[in-house]
Amino acid sequence: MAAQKSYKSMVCPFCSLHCDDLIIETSDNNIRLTQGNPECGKKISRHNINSQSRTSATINKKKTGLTEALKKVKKIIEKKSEVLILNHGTDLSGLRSLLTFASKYHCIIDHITSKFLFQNIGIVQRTGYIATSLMETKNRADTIIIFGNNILKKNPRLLDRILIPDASLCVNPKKKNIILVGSFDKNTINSISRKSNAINVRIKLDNIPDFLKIINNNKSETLRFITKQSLVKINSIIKKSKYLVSTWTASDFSNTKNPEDIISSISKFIVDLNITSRAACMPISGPLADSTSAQALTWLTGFPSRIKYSNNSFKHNRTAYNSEKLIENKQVDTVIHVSNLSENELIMNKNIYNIVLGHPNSKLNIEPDIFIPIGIPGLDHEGIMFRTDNVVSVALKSVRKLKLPSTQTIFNKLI
Amino acid sequence: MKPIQIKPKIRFKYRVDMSFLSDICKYDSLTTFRAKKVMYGNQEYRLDNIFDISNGDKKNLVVKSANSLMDNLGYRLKEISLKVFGDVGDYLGAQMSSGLIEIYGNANDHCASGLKGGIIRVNGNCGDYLGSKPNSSNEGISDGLIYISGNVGNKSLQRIRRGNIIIEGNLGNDACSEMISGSVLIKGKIGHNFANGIKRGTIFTTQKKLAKNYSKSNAAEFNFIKFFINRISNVINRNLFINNRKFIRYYGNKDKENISELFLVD
Amino acid sequence: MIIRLKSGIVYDPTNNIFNRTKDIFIKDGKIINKNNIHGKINQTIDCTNKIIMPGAIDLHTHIGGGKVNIARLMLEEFHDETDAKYDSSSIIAPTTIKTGLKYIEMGYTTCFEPALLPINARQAHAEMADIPFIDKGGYALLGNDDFFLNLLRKKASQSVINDYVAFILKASQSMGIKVVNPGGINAFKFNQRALDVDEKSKYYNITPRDVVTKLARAIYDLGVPHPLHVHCSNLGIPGNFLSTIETIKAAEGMPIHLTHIQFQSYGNNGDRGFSSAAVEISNHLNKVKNLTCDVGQIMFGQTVTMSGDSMSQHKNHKHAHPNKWMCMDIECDAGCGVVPFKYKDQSFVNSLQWAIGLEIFLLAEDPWKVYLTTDHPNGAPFTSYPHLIKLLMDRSFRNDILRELPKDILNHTILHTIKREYTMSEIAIMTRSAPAKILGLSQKGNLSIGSNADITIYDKNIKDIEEMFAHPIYVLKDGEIVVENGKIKKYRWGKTHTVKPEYDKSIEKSLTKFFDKYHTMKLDNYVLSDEEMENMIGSKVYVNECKYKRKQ
Ligand code: SF4
Ligand SMILES: [Zn+2]
Repeated sequence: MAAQKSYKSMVCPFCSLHCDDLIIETSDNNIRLTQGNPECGKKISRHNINSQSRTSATINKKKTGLTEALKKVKKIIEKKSEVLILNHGTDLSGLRSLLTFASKYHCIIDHITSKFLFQNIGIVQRTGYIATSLMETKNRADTIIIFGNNILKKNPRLLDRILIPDASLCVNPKKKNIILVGSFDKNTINSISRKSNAINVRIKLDNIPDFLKIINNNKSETLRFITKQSLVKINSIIKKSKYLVSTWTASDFSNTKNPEDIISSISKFIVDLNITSRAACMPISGPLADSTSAQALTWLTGFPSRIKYSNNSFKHNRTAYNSEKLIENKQVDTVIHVSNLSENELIMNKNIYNIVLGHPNSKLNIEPDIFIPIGIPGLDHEGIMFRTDNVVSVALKSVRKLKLPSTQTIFNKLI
Repeated sequence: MKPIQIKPKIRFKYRVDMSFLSDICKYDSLTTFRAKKVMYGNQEYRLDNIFDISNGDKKNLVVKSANSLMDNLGYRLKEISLKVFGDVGDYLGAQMSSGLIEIYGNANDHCASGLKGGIIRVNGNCGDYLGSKPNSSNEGISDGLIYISGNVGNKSLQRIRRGNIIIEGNLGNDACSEMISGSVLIKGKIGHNFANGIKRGTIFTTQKKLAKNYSKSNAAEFNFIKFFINRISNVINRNLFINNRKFIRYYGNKDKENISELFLVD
Repeated sequence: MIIRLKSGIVYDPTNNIFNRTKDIFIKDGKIINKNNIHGKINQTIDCTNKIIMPGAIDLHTHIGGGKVNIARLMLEEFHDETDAKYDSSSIIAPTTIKTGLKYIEMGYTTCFEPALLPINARQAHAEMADIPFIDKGGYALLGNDDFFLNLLRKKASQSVINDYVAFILKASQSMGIKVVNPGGINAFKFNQRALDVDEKSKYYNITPRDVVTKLARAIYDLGVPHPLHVHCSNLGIPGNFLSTIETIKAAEGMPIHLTHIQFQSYGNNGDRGFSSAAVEISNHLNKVKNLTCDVGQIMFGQTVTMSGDSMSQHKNHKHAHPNKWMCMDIECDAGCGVVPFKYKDQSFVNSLQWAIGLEIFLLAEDPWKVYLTTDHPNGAPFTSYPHLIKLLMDRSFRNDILRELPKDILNHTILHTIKREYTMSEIAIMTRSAPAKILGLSQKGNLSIGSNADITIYDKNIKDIEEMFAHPIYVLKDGEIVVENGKIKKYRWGKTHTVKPEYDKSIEKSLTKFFDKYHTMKLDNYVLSDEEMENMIGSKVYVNECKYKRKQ
C-alpha cells in the first residue's frame, strides 16, 4: 500500500532564524519541504530515517531496550568521578532537565559552540552595545553591512526573508543598500546585486577592524583595502542611512586571529554611529540551539555556558570547563553527549566513557559505550527554542511519529 | 610564625579550583578552615581529606607539589604572601589586589588576569593571555607588578591600564594590543603584531625592528629611568636586565593616537 | 489537612481588621470559616505575639524577560557571592531560583513583571515559570508597537483599539497593559531623542497624549481591573513633573497607574537645575480620583537599570557604572536598555532622588493609592524593602541618614520637615491590600473566608522593624507552610495570573495580514495558548475576572 501523504505546517529547528512558515509533506515519517529554499529542503531531509539510522539504544554496540540502557547510564554515573555533559543542541525542556540532572550529579556543562558564544558576548559584558532583531531589520533597515563569508549559506533564508524582503513597513525594500565586507563568493554577490544596491568590499576578515577605522576616519591618505571611489560611496551611503544594520556570524571568523576584536570593532562602529543617527547590530547565532542554551542557562544559573555544579550552586569558568580541552586532556572520566539537532560527527576520546543521547543519524568517530537515540524537537516532539536575536522564541511542533524520546524524558528518568 | 604549608594528599586527575585559599583569613581557626567543603571531581570533600594543611601564619602560605590542574591559585588575593612550588593551572593571581605570589614552576593561561595590585613573580614560563581582561571588563591589568623569568605565550597584556611587567624570556604574538598605559620590559624576542593600537605607556625592548613605528628622541634625561630601575629591582629582588645598559628613547606617532614611548635597550 | 493559626495579631485591611487578635483556619489552600470545620485540626501554629498579614504583593518588579537576562549576563562579575546559601548570582540580577527564594523569605507571595513585551512573552513566562514559590503575572507593553501606532495614525475607532488590546492580553497571557515612554521608544527608532507629551512623533505623527488617552480608555472599556500602567515621557529628566501632570490629564478621568513616580517628579530649580517636585506631584495624587502610583524608591549602592525605554536608556549610558551597557530595538514591538548604575550617597542628584521618593510616600494622604516599590532593580533590589519600610516607619532613622547626605539637597526637598511615620496598618495596606485591589485579585491581599491562604507571619518580639520584615518566621503559600522558622521548608511552584477580556475576533484578520506581510513569525505561533503555558512553558494559567462584560 502506498504511504499516505499529508501536508503540515512546520516550525524549523535547523538554523537560528527558526522560520515558522514551512509547509512539509510527510509520508511514512519521511519529511520533504514542498516549496521554498532548496537549501533548507536539504537541511530538513537530512533528518529522515534511513537504513543506517540508529533507532534503538546500544550498550557496547549491542542493541538493547531503552530501560536497560537508562539503568546502565544511572549505574555508570553513580560510579564516575567527573562527568561532562556536552550539549550539541537541545530545546528548553531538554536544558531544564539536563540542569536538574547536572545539579544532582555535580556535572560540568558545556555547549559545543561556546567558543563563538563567548566571542559575541564580550560586547555585552565589556562594552556598550546596540542590538536589533529580525523584524526591525526587515522593516526599518535601509542599509545593511554583512560581514564574513558564509553567513548567508549557513542561514539560507536570511537574505530573502529578512535582509531584502518583499515588503517592509518603513522603507522601500527594493532600494536597500547592501555592503558586503569580507570574502563572499561570486554567486552570493550576484544574487544580492540583482535585488539591491550592492557594494562588495573584498578584504581578509582579519582586516575588518582596520577597514572600519578607515571608514570612520574618512581620510584618503590612510587608504587600504578599498579605492577612493568606494570609500566616498560607502561613506555617503552610511551618512544618508536612517537605520543601518550590521550582521555577522561568529563562526565565519573562526579562522581569524582575533575574532573577538573583529566583533568588538563592528559593535563600536555601530555605537559611534548612534551618536547622531540610528544603527544596530544583529549577530546571527549558530544552528545548534546555542541561543537557547545561553538564555536558559543564564536565567537558571547566572552564566551562559561552561558551568559546574559545586557547593550549592553553579560556578562558571571559561577555561576549566572547556569541553574540548577536558576531553583532549582526559580531565573528565565520562562524557554525556546530548545531540538533538544535527547528525554532525561527535568527537569522542576512546579513553573516556562515552554516553551519547544522539540524533539517530549521528556520525560518530568511535563507537560510544552507550548510545540512546533521541527525538528531534520540531520533528518528533514539541519544544521551545530561541531565535538568533534572543528576544523571540518559537514553539516547535511535532510532525512525525517515530516515538523517539525527548532529552527531557531521558533526563527525567535519570534524576 | 612559620608559614602554613598546603600539600595535596592525592594525585589529582581532574581540575581543582584553588580559590578557597584566598579566603583563609575569613576563618577564625584553621580547624574550621580544614573542615571546609571543596569540590574535587563530582564529590565534596573536607579540605583536609585532600590536602595536608600545617599550622602557621594565615598571611603566609606555601603550596607544595602544585600541578597544572590547580586553577585560580591566589584568586582575588589580598594581603597574603603565597609561595608555590610546582606548575599551576589557569588564572594564577587573577584579580589579586595586594600581597605577593611567587611560583617556582610554570603558570598556565590567564596568569594575573585583571590584576589590581600586588606582586606576582613567576620563575618559569607563562601560557597565553598573561594579564588578560576579566570576562566582564574591558581592561586588563589595572595595577601591580609581574615578573616572569621565562617565556610568555600569545595575546598577552591586552588593554592594560597601569602596572609594571618584566619578561626575561620571549613574548608571543599579539601582545600589548590597545595598551592604555603602564610599563612593559621584555628582554627576549617579541612575536608579531606587537602593541597594535597602543595609546600610552612605556616599552623597553632589545628588538630593533619595533622602533620602526616610532620617532627617535634626542632628549637624554634618563635619571628617572634609573630611579625606576632601582625601584623595580628592589621589588623583584634581583637585578633588572636593563640595569647598566644603554637606551635610545623613541616616541610614538601622535597621528595614530599613539603617545607611548619605547626604549631600545642595546 | 486543616491548619490553625492561633491567637495571632491580625492585619487584614480589606476587612477593616487592624491589630486584632484572632484565629485563622486553613484548608485546601484557602482560608475557611471556623464554624465550617468538620474533622480534626492537623496542625496548630501558636501565633501569640506574632503579626499575621496576607502575603505581600509586588506589583512592579523586573523579574523575567529578555532585559533581565541581559543584565544577568552583563553583570557576571557581581555573581560572586561565594558563601551564598543558594547560588552565587547577584541580588541585582538574580537567577530565577534566587528571585523566588528571596521573595518568599521576605513574605512576598505574588509578583508582577511590568514590562512583558508581547513578542518576548514566551521567554518572559518561561523565566517566570522557573521562579519558585510565588504567583506571578505580567503587563504587556503597548503603545510603541508599529501596529498600534498605525491604528492611531489612521484614526482607528476606539472599539478596534479595544479589540487589539484584548487580543494582546490574551496572546501574551498578561494581567494588564503597560505603556513605556508612550510613542517615544518607537520615535527613537526614527532617531528622535525626546518626545514630550504633546510633541508629534516624526513618522507616525501622533503624540504621547493620544497613546495614553486611547489605551486608558481601552482598559476601562474592556473592564480590565488593573488600570493602564504608565511609565511617563521624559523619565529622569529635570523638570519632568510637568510631563507627568500632563500624562495624568491625558487619561481624561479614566483610571491610570503611574509607575516609579519618583523618577517622574523632578523639578529644575536651583543652581544645578535639579530639584524635588514631590509636592506638586503629591497634590495631584491626593486630588485626582482614579490615580494610583508606585514609588520606585532608590537606595544607595550598586544596581542595574533596565527599562523598555531605549530612548532614555541610550541617553543614560554615559552614566553607566561599571562602564558597559546595552540598548536594543525589538521586533517593531518595543525596545529595551540595560545600564548598570551606582547610586552614590555623596552625589547631590542621587541623594535628592532618595529624598524625593520618601517625600512622595510621606505626602500621600491615602495609603490605598501609593505602593511600595523600588522598581527592582532600577532603584534598588527588592531585598531592600524592609529597609524602606523602616525609613517610612521611623522618622529618626530616616533623619539620621538624611543628615549624612550632601547638605545642599535640603534647599530642594522638604523631607526633613515631614513628621509623619507610617503605621503598621498603613504598611499592611500599601504592601498587600491596596495592590491586590488595584490588580483585581479578589482572593489575595486579604484574609477573607475563601481567599487564598497566602499568609506571612512576623515575630513581634523582634524590635527592629527592618529585621522583622526581612525575616518572617512563617510564610504560607496556598495553605502550605513554605517558610518555617525563617528557613525554606518546601519548594512549590505558583501560577500565572492573567485576564482575558472578550473581543471581536475580526481584529485577528487584519493582524494575520499584518503578520504575514511584515512579521517574522506567524500569528498562531505568536499567541500563547493555555496548553503551551502549562505543558511547554511550565506554569498554569489562572484567569482573573474582568469587571464587566464588554459592551456589544
Ligand atoms: S532559513 Fe534556517 S530556519 Fe529557515 S527554513 Fe531554512 S534552515 Fe530552517
Ligand atoms: Zn519598572
